Amino acid sequence: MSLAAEAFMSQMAAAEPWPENATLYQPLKEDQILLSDCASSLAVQAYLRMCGLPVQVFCRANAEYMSPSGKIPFIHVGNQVVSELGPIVQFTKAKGHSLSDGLDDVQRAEMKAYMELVNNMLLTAEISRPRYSSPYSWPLNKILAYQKQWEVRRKMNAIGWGGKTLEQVYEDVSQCCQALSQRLGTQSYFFNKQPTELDALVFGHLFTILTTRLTSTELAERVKSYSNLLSFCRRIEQTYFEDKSS
Amino acid sequence: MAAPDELFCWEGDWGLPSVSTDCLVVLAYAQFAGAPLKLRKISNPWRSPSGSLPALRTNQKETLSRPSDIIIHLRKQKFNADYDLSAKEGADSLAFISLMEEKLMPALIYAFWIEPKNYVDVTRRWYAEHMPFPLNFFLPGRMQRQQLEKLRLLRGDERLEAGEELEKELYRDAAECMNLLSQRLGSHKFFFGDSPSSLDAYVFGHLAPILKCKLPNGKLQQHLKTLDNLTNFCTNILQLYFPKDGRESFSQKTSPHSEGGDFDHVPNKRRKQFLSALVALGAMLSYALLTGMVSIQHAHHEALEEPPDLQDIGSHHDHEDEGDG
Repeated sequence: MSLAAEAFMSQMAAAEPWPENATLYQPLKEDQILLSDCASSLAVQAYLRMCGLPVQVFCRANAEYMSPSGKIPFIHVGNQVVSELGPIVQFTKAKGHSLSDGLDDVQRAEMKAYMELVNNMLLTAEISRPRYSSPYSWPLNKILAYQKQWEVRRKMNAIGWGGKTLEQVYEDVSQCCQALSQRLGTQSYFFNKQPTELDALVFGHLFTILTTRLTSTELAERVKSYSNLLSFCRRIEQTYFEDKSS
Repeated sequence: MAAPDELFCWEGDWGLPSVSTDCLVVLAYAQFAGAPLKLRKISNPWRSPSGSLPALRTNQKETLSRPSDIIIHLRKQKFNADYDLSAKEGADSLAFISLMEEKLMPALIYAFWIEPKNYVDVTRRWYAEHMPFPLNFFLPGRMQRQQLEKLRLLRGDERLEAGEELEKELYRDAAECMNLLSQRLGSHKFFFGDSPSSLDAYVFGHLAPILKCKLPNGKLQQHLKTLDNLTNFCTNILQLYFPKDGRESFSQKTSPHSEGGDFDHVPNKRRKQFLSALVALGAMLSYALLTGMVSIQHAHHEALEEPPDLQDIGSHHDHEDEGDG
């Protein structure tokens, strides 16, 4: 998002409090949503719940095209539309809700660094597992699926992941999980006793990996081997998503 | 003892051992870990075993290209600069490396390859001057297209073009990343304790080109210079681990064009001169042969036919004179 647009958005955001009818859009759960998009959407939902901001979730087949930046999920608040976790965090900050105010500079640096790590490793690992079917009819579903896969492959080549075998991708995911597990240690959340956007992001990704049915369970097995990460996910699910399941 | 691995990397300039970030990362790590590598500084990527630089050719004739792969290989050979790191510090390393790849590298690519003034005045000129003929005509352009493609894919925007907007965004992200690194470094000598680790190598590889290279549009350098601890960090590593390259920068400063202390270029220059003289001679000879001014006869005929040749040449010249007159 350009600087001018961002400044404008924060100004407008600061003007009004969080409304009751905020909505979040994501693609259809069962057949359309990509693993990475599901993770991002869950991360945003977790973050908003942690802030105590109510939001309704709508599943739409064309959510990708509705979004201002083309990325999902996006939220529709008042008369503004914001997509992706980064801008959404800034948006809520402008409205006066922030989870990372209590952190000092070094911790904030570490938080941003770990968020990038998660994005780098887990997101791209999720992308390398193709799972894009479509609610559209033939041949559109085939064409869109190929387009998506091709786009993803090009991105992987650009960042140097193109030459990696599946085994190496799993290895990288293990390394990332190990780093997260060591950072978390025995704490409840990554920083002190309060959750931050890093917790939301990690929860979104790990929960998605653990619960989505894929052709191979290798990814989930690797994550499951870190018990503190498992209990972390369970804890967040119980604390913030309890009303959903009940 | 097995022969050391060979490392092919870009040549250095501006007081650095190499001009490329990836090469700098590998060189710095090798120095930190004390790994003996046979260094081959070249400016022709086609001569490297993998077609790109950096490239490590191991004893088993395997070729590795990605800096992370090379570092893992060196670690397996017991050259491990991260040996003393705790588990948490190792995790932090990974996180900060990801941060740099995501926030700082796009700005680096933009500053060196996409920004028009920088690219034309500094980057393209450097590569064109250092690459051998005839690669210097098309390879810098090809590298620039590859870098633009990479930037487009990193940002997820197919129609990315150089411009004020993009520059502001990228430099803002890079400035934030540099601030974060500065906060993490604090007043320590290296990121973790008193001895450098792989994170230090990565930070050095990304920041040193910004610090040392004089670009016309030097906003990144300006920002970096305001962060004293990072500046000192880079100069410290250069002094401790690459003292020779630092000294070379003085001789290069007095002679900015590649005439002065570049002894490597003299044989190339001679070869180029010889080649161009040869080409010119060949062109003139072939023209003379084709137009018939000079004709080559076989040796055993020459003795008999020489007088007619002279007459032929003479008559040809007469015809020419008549033509002119």
